[in-house]
Amino acid sequence: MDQETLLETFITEATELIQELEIDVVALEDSSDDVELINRIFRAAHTIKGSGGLVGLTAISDFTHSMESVLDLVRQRELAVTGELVSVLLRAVDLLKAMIKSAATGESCFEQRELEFVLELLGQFLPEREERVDTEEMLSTKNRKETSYFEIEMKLSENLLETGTDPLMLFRELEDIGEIVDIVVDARSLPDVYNVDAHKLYLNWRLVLRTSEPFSSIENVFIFVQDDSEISITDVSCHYKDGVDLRVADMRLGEILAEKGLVVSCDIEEALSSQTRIGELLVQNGKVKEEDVKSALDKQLKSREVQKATTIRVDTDKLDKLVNLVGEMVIAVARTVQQNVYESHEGKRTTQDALDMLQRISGDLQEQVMRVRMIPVEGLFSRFHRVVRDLANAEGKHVRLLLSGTETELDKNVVEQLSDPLKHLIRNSVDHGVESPGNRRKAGKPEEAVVKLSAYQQEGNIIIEVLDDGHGIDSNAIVDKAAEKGLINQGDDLDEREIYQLMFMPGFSTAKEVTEVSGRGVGLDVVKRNIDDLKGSIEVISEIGKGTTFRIKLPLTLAIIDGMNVKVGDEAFIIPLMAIVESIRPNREAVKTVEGTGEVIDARGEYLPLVRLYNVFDIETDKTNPSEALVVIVESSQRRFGILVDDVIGQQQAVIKSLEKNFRQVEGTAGATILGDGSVSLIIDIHGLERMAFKSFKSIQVSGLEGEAA
Amino acid sequence: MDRSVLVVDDSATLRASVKFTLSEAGYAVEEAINGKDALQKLQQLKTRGVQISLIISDINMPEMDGITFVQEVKKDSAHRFIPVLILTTESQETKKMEGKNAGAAGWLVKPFNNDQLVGVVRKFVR
Repeated sequence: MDQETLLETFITEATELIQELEIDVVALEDSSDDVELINRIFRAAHTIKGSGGLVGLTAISDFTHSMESVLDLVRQRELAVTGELVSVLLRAVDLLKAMIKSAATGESCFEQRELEFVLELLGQFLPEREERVDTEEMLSTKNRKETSYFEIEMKLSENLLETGTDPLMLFRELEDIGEIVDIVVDARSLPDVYNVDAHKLYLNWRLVLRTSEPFSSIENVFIFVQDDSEISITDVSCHYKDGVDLRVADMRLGEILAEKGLVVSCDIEEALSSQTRIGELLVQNGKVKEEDVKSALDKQLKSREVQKATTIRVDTDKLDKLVNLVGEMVIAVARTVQQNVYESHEGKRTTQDALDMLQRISGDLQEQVMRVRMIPVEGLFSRFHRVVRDLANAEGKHVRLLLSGTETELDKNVVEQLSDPLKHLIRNSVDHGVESPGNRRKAGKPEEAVVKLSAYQQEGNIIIEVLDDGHGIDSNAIVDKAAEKGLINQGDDLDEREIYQLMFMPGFSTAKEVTEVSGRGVGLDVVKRNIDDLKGSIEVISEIGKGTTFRIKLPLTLAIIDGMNVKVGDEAFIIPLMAIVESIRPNREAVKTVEGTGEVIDARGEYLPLVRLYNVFDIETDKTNPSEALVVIVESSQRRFGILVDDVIGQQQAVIKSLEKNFRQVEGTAGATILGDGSVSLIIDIHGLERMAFKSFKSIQVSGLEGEAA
Repeated sequence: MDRSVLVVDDSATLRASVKFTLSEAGYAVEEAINGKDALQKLQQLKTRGVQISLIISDINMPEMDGITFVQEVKKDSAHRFIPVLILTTESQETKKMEGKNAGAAGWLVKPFNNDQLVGVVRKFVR
């Protein structure tokens, strides 16, 4: 492993550790008695110190040493956990992050002054002159006088008996210094009785010794045999508690028996195959229903999968390539199927069946591959404890952040891009949403406010909600404000949903006064744009006095969308299914031209603007009469409108290929996809199309221009 | 009966000191002054029905040195399973391995104190 790989490994490890460290430090404030938590924090700092030193990052190593010294005092119960301590530790964590970033990028991401200052802050918690504590020593010998458990594996020399050494004497000697709590003899090399040489030793042993003697005493037992035998002695104290091997808890009976050498693996398999499963037994006895057992097993399986998933690390680049290739394959299969359908005759029945199966399998494969990219939102969510804590402290509020559905999985890219908008919404909730403790008391609410961040799946979408139990949003205030800013006209008739959507317009802010945290120049319009980029939508539900919920709806993945394939002239387009409300063929009278607004159609009494796709994209078609063509009604976050197309071909999944990467960005499109027959189809970006078609609408125009400039 | 140790050394002082310590610890101790003497002693003891549980032998001895003695013991089917401890000095690291290769079960580094001696003997004889 060269120096650079070593450094990369360190940075990955340290980054992960710091993320956990930060979460743990925040948790420390509420659970200052949690010994395991304190130890974990200490260990994280200790690991960063050690590995930082290994890769030559002495600044990081020295700095974490100071953190470690303070944490050690906490661990030894010599220093109490206070809000001040937590704040200093968090500041140190921030600095550490910057230092790691510096190491990763090679650029200086922190100021020397800050480093000195934080060191001084940490120094305040240390006694006058910090004696250099050799923590390495501390960690390894902290149990010196306590009982330790050593696992000893003895692979003794076959000729041991020749020298006159009796293995039994070794055991006796071990018993002199401790207690053998577990012993397993390995007789696998013992030949059958006719081939036994009485002068040879065929047995090996593995045993666990409980002793208060040091390691060297055990080594001393084997002093004469270690040269020609393999003796390994391992301190396994961490696996033992009160003399019980904790590892056994996670083992299956078969494994335990096999490890003891009492059975061999084929015995177990044979026994297992003849065994009636517990689920089957319970079903037989009528205790539970079969489907309940199945669902419980599925759940177990899923949980185990999730558990496993945390241990694998794959380059996202590789995943992207895999996703792309599988996407291509799915398309190729679809093409083949389509081709075969065109040419299909009776004789090709079997080919058709095989193709159907191939298509189904490749579909499943695609789904599984997509799933590889999914990660739980837990990591993202738990970061916000810090945000809430800092902000609440700054404003003198008591806010508890609750998380739910942290196991919900999302595409890795989506999770990353969600960080900023979610942070903004959470700040918003703490800053503007919840009241001060005094006001909450007056309103008869508990002083501690609740902000809840939850994630769940709903109908093929992921819903993420930021909920607070604050004072809610006054819709009249929004209308007044919007009118004042000239975003709407005073008399405009807006329903509640539309009113709340006004908050996402650029330049809209209802904060009555600028607090320390607002006035950072980011408004909800940026949140909206971020969510739009993720092909999601956001809405607000609020009740005066009760609280506010921001609900974000996201597609499961960015790389594939469910779409409706439509035809205009010779061109085919995909309209994202998520945006489609319905498709209608209006009668002649339903289409009207309204002064200043353009064409509208009457869709069940509601007049909706009509966008002629052939006009927008400048395509030749003879189906210009809506009553002979089709109108697809779509819903953007701003409004509903109709899109005039020649025909609707059908629903299909589309693997999104970036146009920007391969060609250039095309206004009104979200990318391209390859259709079953091999032709290319553009995917309509509803918001982009809306911007192109309704440029006259003031607020949209502003938002559109900003969007392009960004 | 099982607890007899044969001490082989040309130095009477050493033999005496070992004999004293081991007798205190409850062992019966037989003596021989060199390798050749020791081989004869083993033969005699066997005919008398005394079974030796451990041999402690010096290396540098007249007539037959310790290494040769160990090799001879290991060749003799009657005695080959008696463990042999060789006595070396710290400077004789190579002798230690030589003895080991010849079939010694262990070694004891001179100078040793009484506890060390009993400790090592206890590894082989209880």
